[in-house]
Amino acid sequence: MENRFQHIFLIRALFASLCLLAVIAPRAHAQALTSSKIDSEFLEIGFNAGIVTIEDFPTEFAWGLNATFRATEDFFLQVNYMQAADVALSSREKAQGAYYTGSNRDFTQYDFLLGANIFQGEFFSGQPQARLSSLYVVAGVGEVSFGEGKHFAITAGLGYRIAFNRRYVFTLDVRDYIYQASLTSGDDERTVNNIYLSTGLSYLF
Amino acid sequence: MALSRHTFFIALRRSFLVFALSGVACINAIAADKTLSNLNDKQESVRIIEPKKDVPVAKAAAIDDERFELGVFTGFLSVEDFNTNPVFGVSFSYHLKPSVLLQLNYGQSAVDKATFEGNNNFLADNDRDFTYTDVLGGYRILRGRSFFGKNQKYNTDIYLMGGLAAIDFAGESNTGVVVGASYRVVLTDTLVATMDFRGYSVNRDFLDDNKRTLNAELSFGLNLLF
Repeated sequence: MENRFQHIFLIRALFASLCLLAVIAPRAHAQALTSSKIDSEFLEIGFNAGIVTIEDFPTEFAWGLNATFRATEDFFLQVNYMQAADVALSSREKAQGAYYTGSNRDFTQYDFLLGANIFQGEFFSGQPQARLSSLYVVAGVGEVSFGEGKHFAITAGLGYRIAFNRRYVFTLDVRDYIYQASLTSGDDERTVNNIYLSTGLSYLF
Repeated sequence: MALSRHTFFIALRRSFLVFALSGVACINAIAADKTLSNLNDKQESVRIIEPKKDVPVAKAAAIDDERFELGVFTGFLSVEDFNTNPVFGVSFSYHLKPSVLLQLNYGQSAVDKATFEGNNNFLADNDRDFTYTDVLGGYRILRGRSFFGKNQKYNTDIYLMGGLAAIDFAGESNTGVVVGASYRVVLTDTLVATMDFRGYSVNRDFLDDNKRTLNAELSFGLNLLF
């Protein structure tokens, strides 16, 4: 029942994001057409890879995909998917046996985030032109699948992006996936923090 | 006879005109001379106001003469097989060159009981502190400036960090490898704000399992420049 509510909530979050896109996109597109061609890109897709620290389990290598809609100069909406396949056994599991097996050992996560650029800047790397950059914070909701069941999760994080050129952007991100879970079905639930530290490359179009 | 009278009057009119023109020219020359001498007299009494030559130039704070940094930091440390907890530490840095940084950090994090421990204690109380002392070298990969709002501009740098750490946890002392990145904002000529990502890779022998662990840290710090 709880999972059903979570799904309904997430579907509504996705629907709200799409509605927001539908409202803002034509305006942003109109702006892009009327103003100069500079900075007219407002959609971005990206790939990232890094490490995810899973509470009570080993740190694992993970990868992810994201799509970002740059609504204004300061705010953006982002959809993320990440996974760490077949999480290794913890020291405790090696001694006493695995808590989870099979696909339950795959850590997968998706979320819908609202982001804000809080510190925009420019960098010089030996070339005459500056490379644009930005420090941003993100927050939103999503779902984590690991172990027994799926968990409604809150995502909070911050990141830094540097534009190599008009099309390619390098990103460095830290995300915390916070949710309630129990290690085994008989235990009480506790708040879990799993941190995903990643670097990525995005393409603007 | 009539012709000679006419000629006489024409000559008389010409003479009158030449005389009149000569008079006007003389008056003009006298007037111009007087005006010039008046101007010269006035110039001597004019006071010329020179503009200020030391016009203030807006300049962002920067690490220029300063060589050392001493600061504190706090953040989160995620310990493999355990959990994520607050971390506190102190930091000392030396700017060998504008693009090269040497850094010494000491940090400590009290690690909570892992879920699998249940009502048991797998570690003694004094073994629960994850403490590290690391020596890092940093190379500035990006130099730039950031804007906070419309009116504030700060010099910012990104350093790639790497080095070694002595790590104490779970009753063991081991040497580990550290890699990370440091984002640094020069707030004033004496204050630097930092945001650091670091990964501590170290061997650990716990529950008869000897393995290399990876522990991630995110921290925020304030350093005094001198």
